[in-house]
Amino acid sequence: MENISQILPLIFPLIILQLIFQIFTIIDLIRRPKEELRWENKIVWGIIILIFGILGPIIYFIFGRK
Amino acid sequence: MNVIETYNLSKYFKEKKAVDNLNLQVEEGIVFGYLGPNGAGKTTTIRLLLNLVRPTRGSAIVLGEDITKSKNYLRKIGFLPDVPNFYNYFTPREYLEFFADILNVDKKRIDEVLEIVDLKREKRRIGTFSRGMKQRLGIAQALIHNPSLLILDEPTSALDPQGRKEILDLILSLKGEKTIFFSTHILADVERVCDRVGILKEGKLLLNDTIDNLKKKYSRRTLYIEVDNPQKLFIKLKEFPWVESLSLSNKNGILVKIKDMSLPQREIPRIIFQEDLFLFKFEFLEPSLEDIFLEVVS
Amino acid sequence: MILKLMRKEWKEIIKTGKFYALLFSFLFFAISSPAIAKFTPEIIKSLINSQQTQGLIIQIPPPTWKDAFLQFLKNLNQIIFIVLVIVFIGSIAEEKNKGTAIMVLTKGIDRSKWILSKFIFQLLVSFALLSISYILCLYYTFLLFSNFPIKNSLFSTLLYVIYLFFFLSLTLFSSSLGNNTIQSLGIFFGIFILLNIFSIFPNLNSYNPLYLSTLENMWITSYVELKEALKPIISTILLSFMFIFLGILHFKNQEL
Ligand SMILES: Nc1ncnc2c1ncn2[C@@H]1O[C@H](COP(=O)(O)OP(=O)(O)O)[C@@H](O)[C@H]1O
Ligand SMILES: [Mg+2]
Repeated sequence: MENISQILPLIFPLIILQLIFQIFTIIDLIRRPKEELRWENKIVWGIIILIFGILGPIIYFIFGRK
Repeated sequence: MNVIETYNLSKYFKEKKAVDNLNLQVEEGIVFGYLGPNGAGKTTTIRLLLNLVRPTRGSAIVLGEDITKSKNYLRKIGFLPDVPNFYNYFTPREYLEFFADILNVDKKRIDEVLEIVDLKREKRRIGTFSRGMKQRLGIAQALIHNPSLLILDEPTSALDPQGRKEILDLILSLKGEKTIFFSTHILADVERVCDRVGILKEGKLLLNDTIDNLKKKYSRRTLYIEVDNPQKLFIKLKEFPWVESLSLSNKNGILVKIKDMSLPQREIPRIIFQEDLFLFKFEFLEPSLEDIFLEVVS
Repeated sequence: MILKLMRKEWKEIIKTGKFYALLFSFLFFAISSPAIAKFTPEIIKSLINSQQTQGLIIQIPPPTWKDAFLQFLKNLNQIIFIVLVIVFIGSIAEEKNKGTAIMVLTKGIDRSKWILSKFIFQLLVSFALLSISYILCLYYTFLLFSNFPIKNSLFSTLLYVIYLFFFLSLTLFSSSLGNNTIQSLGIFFGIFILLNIFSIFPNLNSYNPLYLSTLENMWITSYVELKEALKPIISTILLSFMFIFLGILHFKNQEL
C-alpha cells in the first residue's frame, strides 16, 4: 500500500481536471431552464454528471439538451 | 408584369400527381391566395417554385428567371414554410443577425423587422416560443432581406383566431409594397386579404381570377323570394328545368338556385302573378366565396 | 460566404454545449493517457504485494513514454473518435430533418458552400483541439517519463490527422445521405464495418484507411518506412475526396 502515496501525485491533476469539468457542467445544468433539458429532469442529469466520471459531462453536453 | 409564370409545371411522386400541368400567372404587386383543400398540391407547388424539388415536367419563370437554370432569383424571395423551424439555441435577434450577415443586409434592418412582427423585446431563446411567436419570427426572417416577393405556405393554419388575425393584418400592411403569394385552405383568409385567388384541387388549377370577377360571375345564381305562401310557389317551381335546387327559409322566404339567368327573371314573376301571390321580396344574393369554392371544387 | 456560415457553426456548438463535450474529451485524455500508462503497473504491483501471494514472481516491465502515447492513440481512436462522430454526424441530416436547412437554402445560399462550410469547420475545430491535446500529452509525458524522442509521436499524430480527415469526410457523406442522425450513424458505421471486413484481406490492407491506425502504433513502437506509409496515406486521401464529392453531389440533387 505504500505505493498509493507514489501514485497520488500522478493522478492528482487528473482528478482536479475532472472536478473542474464536473463543476462547470453542474453550473450549466443549474442555470439552464428545465424545459431545455431532455427528460426535463435536472436531478437525473445531475446524477449522470457526477457518477460517470469524465463521461458524465461529455454525455450531458452531447445528449442533455433537447 | 408577372412575378410568377408557370408552364405545364408538374410534379409526380411515383404515381401521385401532386402538381399536374399547372399554368399559373401572378401579377406584380398583388396578394394572391392559393386556395385548395389539404393534399391539393399547394406545398409542392411552392417547393417547386423555390427550387427545393425539381419539376417532373414543365418550367416556371419567377422574377424573370427560369427556375431550372438559375438560382439568383431566390435572393429576392422571402419564404415562410408551413411548419417553420429555427435554430432553437438562438434568440430572435441572433437568428436574424445570422441572415443579415450571410445576405449582406444592414444590421438596422433587424430592428425594423423585429418591430414589424413585435418581437423586439424578446430575449428568450427561440426553442421556448409558442407556435404563434414562431410564425411571426418566420415572417421576420422572410422579410429580413427586403424581398420583392413573399411566399407564405399556410401562414394562418396552425394559429388561434387571435394569431390568425395578427398574421392577416401583417399581410394587409405589406400589401402593395410586395407581391404576396400565400397558400391556404381557409376561405375567410382569402376573402379578407386577397386580390386574386387560384383554386387548386388534386394538383390541377381549377380557376385563377380576381375576387371581384368571381363574385360577379358566380353571383346572380341564387334568388331569394318572399311571398305570402311560399309552399305554393315551392311546388310550382319544382317543375321547371332551370331550377337547380330549392329550399324554404324563414317564414315566407324561399331560396332558388338557378342554372341560368334569363328565363327565371321573366318566368318567376309570371308564376307569382298566375298563382295570385303577394310578392314581398325578390333579390339576387351575393355569393360568399365559400359557395364559389364549393361549387368549383365539387 | 463560407466564413460567415462557419461563424454560425461555431455559435451553434458553443450554444448547444457540444463544444464542451469535445474540449473535455481532448483535454482529459491528453492527460489521462500518460498518467494511466505510468500508474497502471504500480497499481498492479501494489495489488500483488497486498495479497501476499505465494511467492509468485511477476515481472512487470517499467512503463515508458511509448506506453503513454499508445494509450493516447487508443483513446483518440476509440472514445474521441466516437465523440467527434456523434457530435458532427447530425450537422446536415438534422438540419434537413428539422427543416432549418430550407430557411437558409431558399434564400439562395449555394448548397455546396453550405455543406463545405460545415466540413471545413469540423476539420478546423478537430484539428485545433487535436493539436492542443497532443502538446498537452507531450508535456505531461515529458513530466512523467523525462526525455524521449518527439519525432515518433509527431509522425504518428500526423497520421491520425489524415485519418481524422477521412472519417470527417465519411461523416459528411453519411450526414448528406441520411435523413436524420440515426440513419446517418447507420450509414457511417455500416461503411466502417465494411472497412473492417476488408482489412482481413492482406493485399487490400495497405490501401485501407483503417491501416493508418496500425501505422500510428508502429510509429510509436518502432519505425515506419515512408514507402510503406505512402500507400494508405494516398488511398485514404483519395477516398476522403471521393466521399466529400459524393456527399456534395447527393446533397445538390436532393429534394428537400
Ligand atoms: N415527398 C413526397 N412523396 C410522395 N408524395 C408526396 C410527397 N410530397 C407530397 N406528396 C403528396 O402530394 C400531394 C400534395 O401534397 P402537398 O403539396 O403537401 O399538398 P397541400 O400542401 O396542398 O396540402 C399529397 O397527396 C401528398 O401526399
Ligand atoms: Mg401544405
